[in-house]
Amino acid sequence: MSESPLAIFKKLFVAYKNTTTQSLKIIDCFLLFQFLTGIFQFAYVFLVGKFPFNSFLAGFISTVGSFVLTINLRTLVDPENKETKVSTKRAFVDFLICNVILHLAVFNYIG
Amino acid sequence: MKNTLFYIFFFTLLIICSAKPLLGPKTAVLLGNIGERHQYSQFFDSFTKKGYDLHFLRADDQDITLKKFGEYLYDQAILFVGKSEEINVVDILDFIDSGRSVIVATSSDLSDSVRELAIGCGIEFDEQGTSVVDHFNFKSGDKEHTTIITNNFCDIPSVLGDFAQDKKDIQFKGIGMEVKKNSPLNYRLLVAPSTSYSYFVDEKITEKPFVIGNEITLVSALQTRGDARVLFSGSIEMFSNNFFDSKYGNSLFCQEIASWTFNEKGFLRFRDFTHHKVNSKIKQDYYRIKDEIEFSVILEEYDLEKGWKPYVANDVQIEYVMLSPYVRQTLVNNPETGKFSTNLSLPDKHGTFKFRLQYHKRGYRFIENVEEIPLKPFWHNQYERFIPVAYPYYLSAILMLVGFFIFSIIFLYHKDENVEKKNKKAPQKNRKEK
Repeated sequence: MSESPLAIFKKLFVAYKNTTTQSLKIIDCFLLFQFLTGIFQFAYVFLVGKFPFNSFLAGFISTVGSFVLTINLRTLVDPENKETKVSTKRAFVDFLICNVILHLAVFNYIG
Repeated sequence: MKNTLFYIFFFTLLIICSAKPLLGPKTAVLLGNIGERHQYSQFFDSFTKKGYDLHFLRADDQDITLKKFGEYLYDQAILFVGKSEEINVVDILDFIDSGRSVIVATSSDLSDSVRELAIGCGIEFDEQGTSVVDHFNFKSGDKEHTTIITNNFCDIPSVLGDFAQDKKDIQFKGIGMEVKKNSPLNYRLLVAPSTSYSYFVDEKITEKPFVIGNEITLVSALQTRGDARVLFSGSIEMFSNNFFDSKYGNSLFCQEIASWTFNEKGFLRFRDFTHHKVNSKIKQDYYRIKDEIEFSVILEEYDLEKGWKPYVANDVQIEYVMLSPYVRQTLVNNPETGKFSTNLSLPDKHGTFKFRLQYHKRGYRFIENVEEIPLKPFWHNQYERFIPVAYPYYLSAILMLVGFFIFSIIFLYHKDENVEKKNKKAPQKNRKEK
């Protein structure tokens, strides 16, 4: 309560490093990358305008969609998840198929 | 030998039978009294010289029909009805609606049916018995001041024709009419001087006259949308031999306006209404948005001696319309061929459009043509590809895929150290679960 925000963040970061597994950390890295790409695209459309609106939508949907699918993978793979019991292999195959479908739609719409 | 003789005989017979008499349009001339035709002989002779076929009939005759079994017997009509003859208004309006032109001349003694006919054409005559009076512009020797001299003509060159070069004053004795000034179909060809008024001659003026000054129209014309032209004149005497004095311009003026009424002047037609994509001669049923189109039409004007000759003007426009015009351009004229053409850029919106040529010029026949050509949107593969502005979006989508690929390799083949540490701490339980 009386701690500074910086100290709280440091505590959070240390706890995160210790409690999450390696695979979850990899997933979190990928999530961060997708998030940043999405932000970059949104800033770009603010600056330049909506001219090829379909291209903007396709690019933005590719980041947002991948983000959602990766979060889904993370919840299924997390060992602390008690409700859904799905093996890692099954989760990953779902992730793979959904990504293929997403990027099929994205590349069709982007032109 | 016998065969050739037979053929010669046969062909000469054929030629003789196909020779038609050289008569022009059949014109019905309705007069109050057939004997009156001699009073207007100069006027009627100008028609017979051009080849018109005049049929003189008595206006009062009940047996006159302009139409028999659904077919019109005459192509045009001249009505000199100034002695309160009753005419069949419905028949004559029907005649006009069918595209046939009429000249109507009346006098102060007009009947109610003539007034009714005029109202049906957008013109209101003054009451029976009134005259146009001018105490300043009258013919010398006229005591009642009802024969007025005027020179207020309209400025429509196609109507006035040769008279426009040699404008002389006109003598007029008759009744005045009122024509609304901004009427799109009625033209005021001859207007009274500003010092005139229209009232009963022998009565003292107690109320405001029906029309005064420049509002009094003496001769007016109606151009209908069905290609008929109707000429209304408040004076029959204007057409008479007495008034065809060389000092005044009656003779030339009456001939010119009559020839305009009978479609000898200002009679246009169009043909070859074509449009196609630039650099292609194929006629298409539809176009795509943002196409470049070449449009052309040929307009011709009828000339009495030369037949159809090319029309010259610089104010013909073509419109591309869907409820309201999206594109409107002036056509460029080629004076030798009468071809009007231009390049159009079709709009960005798809829908059911039509090409509309609408040419309503005062003194000319109305030209209207509409052709419906829908406009289709781009096909899926007709959009622009690899737009430089959109490169960041392409890049992000590709990065996602590449990242996904790298991520899946790392995710599947990495060694999880935390799990192994946990395994070392509680080996037995994990082995059993696995």
